[in-house]
Parts: sequence; structure tokens; C-alpha cells
Amino acid sequence: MIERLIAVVGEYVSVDRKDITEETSLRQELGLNSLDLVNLAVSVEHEFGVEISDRKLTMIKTVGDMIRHIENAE
Amino acid sequence: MMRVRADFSSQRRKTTSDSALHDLHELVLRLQSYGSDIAVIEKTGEQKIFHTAEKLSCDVEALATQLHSRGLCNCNIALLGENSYRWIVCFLAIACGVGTAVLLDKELTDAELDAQLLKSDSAALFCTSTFYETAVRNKKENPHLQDVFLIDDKDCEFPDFSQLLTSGKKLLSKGDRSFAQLQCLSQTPAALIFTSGTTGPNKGVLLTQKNLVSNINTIAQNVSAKESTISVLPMNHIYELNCNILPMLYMQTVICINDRMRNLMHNLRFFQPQMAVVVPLFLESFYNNIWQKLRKDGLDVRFERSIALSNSLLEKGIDIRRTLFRRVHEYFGNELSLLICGGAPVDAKYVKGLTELGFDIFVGYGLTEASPIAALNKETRTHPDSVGKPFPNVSLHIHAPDPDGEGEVWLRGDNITPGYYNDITATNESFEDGWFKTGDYGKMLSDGYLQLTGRKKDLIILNNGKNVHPEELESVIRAQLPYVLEVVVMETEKMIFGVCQKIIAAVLYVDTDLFDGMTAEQIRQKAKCDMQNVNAKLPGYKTVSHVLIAEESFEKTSTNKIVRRKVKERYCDCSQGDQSPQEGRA
Repeated sequence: MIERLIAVVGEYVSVDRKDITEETSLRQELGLNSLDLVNLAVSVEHEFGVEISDRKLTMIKTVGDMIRHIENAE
Repeated sequence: MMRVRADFSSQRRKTTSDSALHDLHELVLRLQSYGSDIAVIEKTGEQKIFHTAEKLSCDVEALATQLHSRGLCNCNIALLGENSYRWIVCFLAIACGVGTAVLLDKELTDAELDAQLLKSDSAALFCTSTFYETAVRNKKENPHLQDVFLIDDKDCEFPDFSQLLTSGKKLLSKGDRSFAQLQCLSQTPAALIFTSGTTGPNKGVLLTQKNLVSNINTIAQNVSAKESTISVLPMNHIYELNCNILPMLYMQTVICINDRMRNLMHNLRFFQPQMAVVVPLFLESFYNNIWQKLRKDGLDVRFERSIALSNSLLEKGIDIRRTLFRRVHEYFGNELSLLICGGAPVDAKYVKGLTELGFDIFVGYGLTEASPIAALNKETRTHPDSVGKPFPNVSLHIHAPDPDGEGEVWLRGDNITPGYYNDITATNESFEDGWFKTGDYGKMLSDGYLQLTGRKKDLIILNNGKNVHPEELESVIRAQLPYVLEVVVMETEKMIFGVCQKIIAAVLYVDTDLFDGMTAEQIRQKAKCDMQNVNAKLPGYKTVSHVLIAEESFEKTSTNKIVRRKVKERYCDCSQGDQSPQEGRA
């Protein structure tokens, strides 16, 4: 799971995958703004077949938060 | 996908010769007179749902009648939810003379929503089912909240929009005339919008009928009516509400509602709107997307040459931008020609870049307290660094200018708030001799254009238009991290994977006695870890990205206030590199 998610995130933000961990924060460390986060959510939805509501997205702050959301939704 | 573009060119448009609007009740009555003209278009699946002006007016009348019959007159009624036709109906039904609409930001955390519902003394709440749990919790725990209504239809204990509308229509058919008798006095509060507070909880900006319609009339007089606009920003944002929704309803410009942010580019092609109101983040995103796409298609060099050619032709008065850059415009639905940008300072690079490609960019200067626009730059091509000329109905004064003419921008006019809700101290601090003190620094250029040069207040304004008061975050940090003796939150820049980004940093001066033998490195690690927990309770845009540990207490003024400038000068550079010994990433 985490490897797949890191692959999606890493591809989206064009950073080395080894720099991304569960603790990596999407805004602060990867520098994503609110529009980037929306686009990332779409990529994650396609990859994992889960829905990320706009309200839920405002609460997802780290890669780990995203993993937990996917696990709960699956 | 439905590609056929609806033609609204035959719809009447507001002209500057039409009489000015006096209040929102009159706006609802005018919508009635616009009859079968389309006012709002929504999207469900790939189908368009058309709402006529007459239907909108009738729905507002029925809902306002129903609220009146429930005894919700002269009350504060909160509104929370995603952009929709129904959101507009609810807002107008409250603000057309029934009560004051408390506009809540759907990006806030549950705790902040609860605090604002309580602080606003809201007697009722309209929310979408996304916020069902917020509604249940507040109905149980908030002593002021009498009623909860759902904006969308959901089978639950709260009455929904359709039920309210049906009941309202029944009352009207039985001869209830309460809507017709509603009175809107110019000084009656119509909206209450929370803005970041300098201390503790946020401040509620009261906007009266006079404030709102003053801005609506000014927009109608200064912006040529287009056939259609797209609503992208949240409607609870004053910039979207009073520069797009309300003025466009008045000007008979069709409002197309972007259902979700992720669908924006698709919806631009689906609705083919002619204009949009945006914040700088969108201009940056549009510009970067265009060039990314051109580079991918190997067209960037050709476009750069075409831009040089187009610019030289423009100097001779020949404008072929939309023909030359047709490929770009097709990507945006082919019709989008005007972007009104405001809410935060905008980088002239993006304004220039998009203007060269054939978009007209107007840059507005304003703030919630000014309902919101005070000046609008419609000549961004010739005045790229200005926010334009002040609107005729807004008095602008540069207070205590220095030899270069630079001073604090003070405003006065019908659009200026009477003050903050239940906060006489904040109101008194913000006004002097009838002028509203904006906290922005600027100067008037010789040709009458206003140029902003900085901020007196320490407000952090992000490129998505969100404001963050450092004092608010400092108070949260002090409350949650007991070992912090002093803290300064500031805006700084940092290279993140090769890109320079604006970030929020916190410099902490800690009580080392409480760490009992821990090394400086261990203290830093602990603070960094604790800041993650602080961030977890904050909305995403307010999170602190960097933590720095100060070696000594901060320099103070004679009145014992921290000299923020000195802290920034000393620690700002530290946050630039990853190797700083004092730095910890939150």
C-alpha cells in the first residue's frame, strides 16, 4: 500500500521516492497548494478506486493520513 | 459531454443607465422581473440544470416566508456548505430582510466551526449533509441554536430545503404577505463574515445592506456585463459573493456553478463561461498549466515567438491574441476572456503572461471590511504593478505619508463595515475619525493609481486569499506547548525541491529547565514532533511548516512587545537551508 501511494505521490510531485515517508507532510514538505492537493486526490482515487471527499481532503495532512483514509475506505 | 453552447446573447443585460440597487430585497424583486432569463446553471452528471431568474426569485420568496413564519426574524442564521443554486437561495432568503447571514468557511476544522457558530449567536443553521455531524453536535451543545435545516435533501431529523420550500409556497398560496412587507434598512446587517482575529477567536465583520449594495452598484458601473461567469471560489468568501454572485445576478450575467474544484478545467469547457473571479493561486496554476502543456507538445518556442510578434502588433493597436493563441483558449472553453483577480497580492509575471495570451486580467484591491473592493486595476497591461484607481464612491486617504508619499491606506465610503460583531475594542482600534485603517501601506502614483508597498499589520496573506494572523497561531502554540516562553510566527520563504515557496515558520524560545538534561538537539526534535500535533488541529492552510529554536529571549520594545522585525531579520535566513543547526521541520 505505502509503496503504491508513494509511487503516486512521488510521480506527481517529481521528487525522489526515498524522500517520502508516512510522516511527510503534503503541504509543508512537498510544497503542495490547495489546487495541487485536489489533483493529487484525483490521482489517488484512480489508483486505489476510493473516493476522497472535499471535506476529507481538508483533513489529510500527511502521506500517512492518506494511507489511513484509503485503508478505511477500502 | 454536452458541447453545444447555450446562447444567452439575447438576454437583457444591466446597463449603467439603469437605476442603482438599494437593498437585497429589491434585488430579489428585480430577479422576478427578469422572468425566464437564465440566472444560474448547475451540472448533474453531464447534464445542465437551468434555473431562471423568476424561479430563483420565487424560491427565495417561499424560503424567506417560511423562515419568517418560524419566528427567525432579525436573527443570525448561519450558512455552511458547498457552492450551489440552493446556497444562493438560502443566502438571499436570509439577507433580503429576514436576518443576518453568517457565512461559514467549509474548510474550517470542527472546533473552529463550533466556535464561530457560538460566537455569532446563530439561531439557525443551514448546512449541507457533509456537515450533518457538525449540525447534530451544535444542536445539542450550542444553547443559541434553535433550528437546523439541510440545504440538500437527506432523510433525517432536520427539515430539508425541499420541505421548507413546499411549506413556504403553501403559506404564500394562503395569502401570507410577510415577504412583501420585509423592510431592509440601509444600516441593517445583512452578512456576518469571520476574518482572522489578531487575538484569540476570529473577528466577525458585519456588512450592512448599504455596504453590500454599494459594492454591487460599483461593480455594475465599472465592469462591462458578460453573458456568463463561472463560480469557482467558495460563495462564503466575500470576494466570490459580492464581486461575482450578487453583482452578476443584478447584471443578468448567467452564473455557472463549478461543482468541484477537481472538475474546473472540464467545467470551463462544459459551461464555456466568459469570465471568472479568482484568487492569485488560479492565475499561477493557469499560467503554469498552459506552459507545461505547450512544452509537452513541443510548441513552447513557437509560442514565445508568437507572443513577441503579438506584443509588437499590440503596440500598433492590432490585437490578434485570441486568434493567434486559439489553442490555449480552446483549453479554457474558448469563451473565457476576463479574469478578475483579488484576495491576495498577485505576481505581475502571471498577469503579464496571461494578458499576452489574450486574457483580460483585472486586479482588485480590497478586504472583507470593504465589502470587498476599494480599487480595481483594469489597465494591468500598462500598469502591471498597481491595484488601480480607487472606485469613485470610495474615499481613499494615505495617512501620514513619508517623503516618498508612502503611508497607511485609510478608507471611507458606503462599502465600509460599521464594525466587528460584539467587539467594540477591535472596532475602535480599526477606525479613526470615520476612516477605516486597512493596515496596508501604499502610495498614490501621479496618474491616480494606487500602489501597495507593504503591510503595517503582521498579517500573512497566502496566494489562495486566505489570511493568517501570526498572533492567532502564537496563541495556539503557547496554549498547547507549555514549555514555550515566547513565540513568533512569521512568513518566510524556503526552497522546497528546487522551488521557492512561501511558508509559515515559528521561532520558539523555550524553558530549557523543563527539559531536564536534554541536549539542544533533543529539545529541537521534541518541539518539532509536538508541532505536528499542533498542526493536526489546524486547517491545512494554517499549518506551521518550520520550527526554529531561539537561543535567547526576543528583543522587546519599551512596552515589552516583541520586535517582530528583529526576530525575522535574525531567524529568516536560518530557514533557507536544511543545514541550520537550529532548524526542525514540522
